[in-house]
Amino acid sequence: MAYEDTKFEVFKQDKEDRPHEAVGTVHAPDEEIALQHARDVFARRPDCHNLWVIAEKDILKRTIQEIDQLIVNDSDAPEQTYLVCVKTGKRRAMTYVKHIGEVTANSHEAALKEALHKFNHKKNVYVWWVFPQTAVTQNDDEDIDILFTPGLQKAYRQPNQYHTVMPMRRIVHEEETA
Amino acid sequence: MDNITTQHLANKLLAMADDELILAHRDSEWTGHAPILEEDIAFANIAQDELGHANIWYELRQALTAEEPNQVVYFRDLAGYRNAQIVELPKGDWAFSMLRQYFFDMLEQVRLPTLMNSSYKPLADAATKIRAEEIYHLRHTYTWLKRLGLGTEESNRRLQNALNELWPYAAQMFVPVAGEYSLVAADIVPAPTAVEAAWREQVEPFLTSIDLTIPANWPTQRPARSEHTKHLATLLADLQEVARFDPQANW
Amino acid sequence: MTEEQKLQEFEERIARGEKIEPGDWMPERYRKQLIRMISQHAHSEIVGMLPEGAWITKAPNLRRKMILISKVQDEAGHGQYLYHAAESLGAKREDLIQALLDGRAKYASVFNYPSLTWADMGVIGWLVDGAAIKNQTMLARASYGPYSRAMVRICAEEGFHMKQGKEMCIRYAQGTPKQREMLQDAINRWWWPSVMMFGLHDSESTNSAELLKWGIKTKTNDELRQEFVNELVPEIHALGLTVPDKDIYFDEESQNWVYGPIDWDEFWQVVRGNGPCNEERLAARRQAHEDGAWVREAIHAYADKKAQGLVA
Repeated sequence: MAYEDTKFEVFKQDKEDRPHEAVGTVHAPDEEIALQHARDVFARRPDCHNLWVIAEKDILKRTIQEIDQLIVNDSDAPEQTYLVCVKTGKRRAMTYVKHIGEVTANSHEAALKEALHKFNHKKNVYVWWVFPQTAVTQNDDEDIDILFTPGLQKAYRQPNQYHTVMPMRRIVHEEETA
Repeated sequence: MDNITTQHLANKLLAMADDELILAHRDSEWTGHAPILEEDIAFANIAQDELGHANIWYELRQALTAEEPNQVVYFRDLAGYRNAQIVELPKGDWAFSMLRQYFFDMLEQVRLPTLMNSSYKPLADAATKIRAEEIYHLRHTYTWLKRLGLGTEESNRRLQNALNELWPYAAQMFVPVAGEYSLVAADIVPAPTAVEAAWREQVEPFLTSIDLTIPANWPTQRPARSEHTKHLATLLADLQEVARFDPQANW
Repeated sequence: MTEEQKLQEFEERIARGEKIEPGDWMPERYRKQLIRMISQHAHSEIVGMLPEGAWITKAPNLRRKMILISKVQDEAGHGQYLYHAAESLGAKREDLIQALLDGRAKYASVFNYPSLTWADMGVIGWLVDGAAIKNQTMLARASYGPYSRAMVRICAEEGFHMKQGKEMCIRYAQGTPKQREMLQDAINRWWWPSVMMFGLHDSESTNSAELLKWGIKTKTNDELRQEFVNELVPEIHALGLTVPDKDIYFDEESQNWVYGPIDWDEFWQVVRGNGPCNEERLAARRQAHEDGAWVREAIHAYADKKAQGLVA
């Protein structure tokens, strides 16, 4: 049987008081492994408090170019919490979607429609993502030491551990004045 | 601490450090060759962690013997190495490496809590520091072993082969170093027999639960840690080659 | 809107410095060019793990060993980010990887050279990663969002790669005679492959004009190459070492180190698969892939069982 890994979007929260931000994807057969991969791929260096992984298929993504085509069908499904993430700003390199809040709805499209309304004060939004809270797998707080602290201690991964600028300057200077 | 105890503790730390060093060396051989890209990354983390632990134990030993870790690693001949044979075996297939890693991770799991309460404070502090990383290692290997044991017929077969091959070597992990019992008496390290029992208590039910058959023979006669397989010679020749090429050099 | 109008608006967005995100309209050619570029870049990272990975077991002290494992690990991570960026354009990672293994995909030729001594580790860091950083810093401003973001993340990590290599080179240049000799030999072998990393001369490069227009490149090959040479040559000389270019001289008027002719015959041989290690590199990747097949099957089978509630 030809099986394909599931693609998971990864969100990283750098510090406890900051919003989760989309940083990339991992491929994994399930969410347990997805979270492990996310930690290995995206949290090797300091500044990680919490990670989310969400299967891509559980996310509705729309750029503002595509919003006009939004069709909301009636649904009997029960309402649930949807997380809303947006990208603001068209030009800066590192911004992509960031978590800004929640809405309650009974479908992805309804959630997006609700989000457009609830967050219409947000300026310069170019990309919208919505997904159910239940689709999120995240690490527990008590796992922070186990998952993220080891990365903090591996100082040799930081460029500031290597002294090349001053030594080279000195060497070049010595050579020039020799 | 008196001189004799210091000597014995230095022996024990050497064995612990050598285990981590050689295991890290074998783990690192997978970097660039792992079955999935994310595992190149994950297993490289584990290799770095184990190397870091080796360094910690070598440094603790340096405080007792003044011998510098790089000197000890790169300029000690095979006869002086005190790692268990299990870590020097070639990496084999993924099942072999995951099972070996699991055996070692479980060893840490059962002895670290006692080490964290060692009467020798530097050892207690070091054990506390490395505990978090070891918990992650064990989770990683649990995840893998479940999937290999219960995945396909082939993965189960390979894992069973690995178990059959590794089981006799596992027992040697618990062989005491010279003077270890005096360290036990001084509450510096846990009793090897207790560690062994705790290890088997965890490992055997888990392996059974993932459709493996525990081999019948758990060796009671075990080689001393000074005895090695033919693999260590090749490993050390590789490990020490560049350093020995120019012993005066600062790399 | 007509296709022409869409194209015009697209090019205006780029001219304004806006990021194109997945889901935005883009010309098919832009998509294809990017998939090509990004996947080649990803493959380069993956193959790039091999010349350095081979020396991990021989690293001559514990610190260097940890550093090298970490560096090669990062390269796997970079490949990972880049495959993700290519996937956002509609490609599939398995297909891209299969193309590499089948020999249908290109990757940076520089990794088709062998790593013969420990000093190669220093030189690969300083020269090869140094050259890569120039390219990557430029690409961090690329118009396609996911590529730009992957590049920013990669640039941040690559800084450590270059610096650890440079630190080694400075140390060995000032070290024992054997170290100096090893280092000079490594520079002699890696200099031209690094210079060639910047690609063909501008006059020969067919893709460049389009890539410049679409904000994927912002500097030409020769511009970047000249910057690289101007930075490295004085520093190599200051260390008392030389580059293997008997024609190189400093031109006072342009303030450039004018380098000798590049051996494009060799370049094309290596690009076409006849380099010293092309076969070896691909063979290693194929081996890893084949050896891993039963592992991937096992994790998928387990995921199936899990989905059916048969296992925890």
